[in-house]
Amino acid sequence: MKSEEVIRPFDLYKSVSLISRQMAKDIYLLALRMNQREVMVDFENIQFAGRSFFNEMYNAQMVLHDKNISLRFINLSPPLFSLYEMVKQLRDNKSPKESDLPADTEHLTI
Amino acid sequence: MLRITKSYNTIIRLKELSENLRYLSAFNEKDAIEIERIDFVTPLSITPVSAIISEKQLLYKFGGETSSYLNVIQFPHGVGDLQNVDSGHTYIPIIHLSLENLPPIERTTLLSQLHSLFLQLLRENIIANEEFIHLITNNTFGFVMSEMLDNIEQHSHAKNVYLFAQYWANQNACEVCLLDDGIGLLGSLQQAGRDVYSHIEAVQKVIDLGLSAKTEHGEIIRGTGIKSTRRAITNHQIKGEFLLMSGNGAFLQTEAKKQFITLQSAQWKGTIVMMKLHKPLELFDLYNYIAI
Repeated sequence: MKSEEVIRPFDLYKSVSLISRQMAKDIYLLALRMNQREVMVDFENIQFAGRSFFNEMYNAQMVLHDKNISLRFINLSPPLFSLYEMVKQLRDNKSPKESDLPADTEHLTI
Repeated sequence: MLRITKSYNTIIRLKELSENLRYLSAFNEKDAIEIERIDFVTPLSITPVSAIISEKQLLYKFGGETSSYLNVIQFPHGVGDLQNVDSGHTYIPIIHLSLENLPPIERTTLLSQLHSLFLQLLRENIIANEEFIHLITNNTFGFVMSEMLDNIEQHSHAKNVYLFAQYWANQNACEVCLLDDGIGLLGSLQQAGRDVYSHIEAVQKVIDLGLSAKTEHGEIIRGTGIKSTRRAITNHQIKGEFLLMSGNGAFLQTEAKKQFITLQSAQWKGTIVMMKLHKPLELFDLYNYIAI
């Protein structure tokens, strides 16, 4: 087993946005196949990553951790790092700060 | 006849859309349709109509006052090449992605590139109002669009995706319509084995219960993408609107009200999402509204 390898999502998708769970699953499978103790995901050129992506990425980190593989992020911009941290926190505490909107409900037929 | 009048009221526009969908459903490929009037172009009103006219290759003549604007926004066929999208100062033209027969990785890539392009055009052109961008932050548009595109990728089985966005300076608002021609909420839930039997029931269970087609370790997990999106849009700061339509079931949420709507005379094969965001009065913190 080698020590580390790097996955570059921008090279994989030629896109600055990482929006889907599928992308995270792709990265997970790549990391698994690399057969390394440590795999880095390099966010260079990535301008946006979504909640779904990070949520699934966090799942991947947990599963890989159980297989003694560390999945680390590098070059994550501060806003994306904040979102990732928030996703991790919300996994433990599922309520967002604002409660669900107290909207009245109507049923219409048009 | 096809008829779009001037209104910002979403229920009125939905009713009109329903009538237009019913009218268009009667035609076969390459038939000629009649357009009575298109007085006002809004993403919700025009994008589904564009998709049907384009898919059925329907023929039409229209020389009304809005005809030049319809040409500018690439009505009805849209732009298919993401490298070749020219937006204006108030709109992102109709973009049409064909996903049919694409390998999964290319499908994922194309939807992701649509997301990137949407944010780029929004930033560079459509919202010239820097204060709007500053207050709402580009991440809010990025967030809601990523959630909806992720749903298309994960659940829709769509062959086609259409997007159109319009900014109205007089309203300080931007409206986006994103639609697909996939299996819709009902199809997706039924395919996953959920006990749902009508479009409106599917819409209600997705909204009220967070029912989703997703499972993890054999257990059904609650969907949070739509919940987070409507929270991000319809709160007291953005004061926006979120509309979801699938089959003949629809849901509209504003800051004040949630409405489940059954459309009597028409339906959409797939899912339509309309999101309208207003400029907030102060810096908006999206993270207060995200759910997992």
